[in-house]
Amino acid sequence: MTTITNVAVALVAALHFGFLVLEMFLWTRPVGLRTFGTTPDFARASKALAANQGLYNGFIAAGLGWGLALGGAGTSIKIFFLGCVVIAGVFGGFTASRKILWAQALPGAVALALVLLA
Amino acid sequence: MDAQNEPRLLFPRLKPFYDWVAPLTWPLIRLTVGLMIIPHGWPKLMMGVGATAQMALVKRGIAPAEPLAVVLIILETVGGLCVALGLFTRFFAAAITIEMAVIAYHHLPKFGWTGPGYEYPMMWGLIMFAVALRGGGPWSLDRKIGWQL
Repeated sequence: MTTITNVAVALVAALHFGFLVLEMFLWTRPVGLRTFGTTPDFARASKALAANQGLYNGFIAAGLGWGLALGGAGTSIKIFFLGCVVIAGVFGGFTASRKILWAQALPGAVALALVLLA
Repeated sequence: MDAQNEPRLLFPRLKPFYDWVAPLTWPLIRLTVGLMIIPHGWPKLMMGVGATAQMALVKRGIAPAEPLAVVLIILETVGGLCVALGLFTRFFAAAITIEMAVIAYHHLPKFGWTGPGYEYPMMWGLIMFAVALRGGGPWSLDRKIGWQL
């Protein structure tokens, strides 16, 4: 159970590291345009904003890694950062794209539930 | 010696197959050396920075143990994943090469890995060195991004 929980938290961390890469480095590239459904012009204009947003996703990944490295003592840290993930996913889902509910809020909620149950 | 020209094929009909798999061989190497390191990093992440420092660094007299333990954990989790994906490949492969060189040095003069000697970390380090020299190559995120170290 603990292993499954830790793997789930690590996957959410890896997912947010992936968001970092997408938003900081691939935003104006074909992969980024396809993922976010943007036009090259919009992507170029919003590049700096996206890079900042991507950086913050990195802090979530780092926070989850920090919680994992602390083991049992890191439970509250994991709960805080997974809570951030769920809230960010719900907010994004209602304000930006419904897909974010599935891509961010759902995995975060599953990992959060596992941490709370463990 | 011409390093570019491939020798004549004994079975020329295999050429389309070789041409097809050639771009896949490099990602195979990246995936192998990148993913195989994660089972070494995961337990270190789970035991935490302090225990990793004790287990891997303090007993060998390597200091500063705790900051280096953080580096080890990051290289063997995020670094392995990045090499596998071909993301910031040169940076992480070079860093892991240095890590493996230090590990190999601390296992001298025993060779066989069951010793435990420097055999396994040396092999790993040399392949990571080759990856650092070559970079992300085909099927890498570095290529999707469009620039690399």
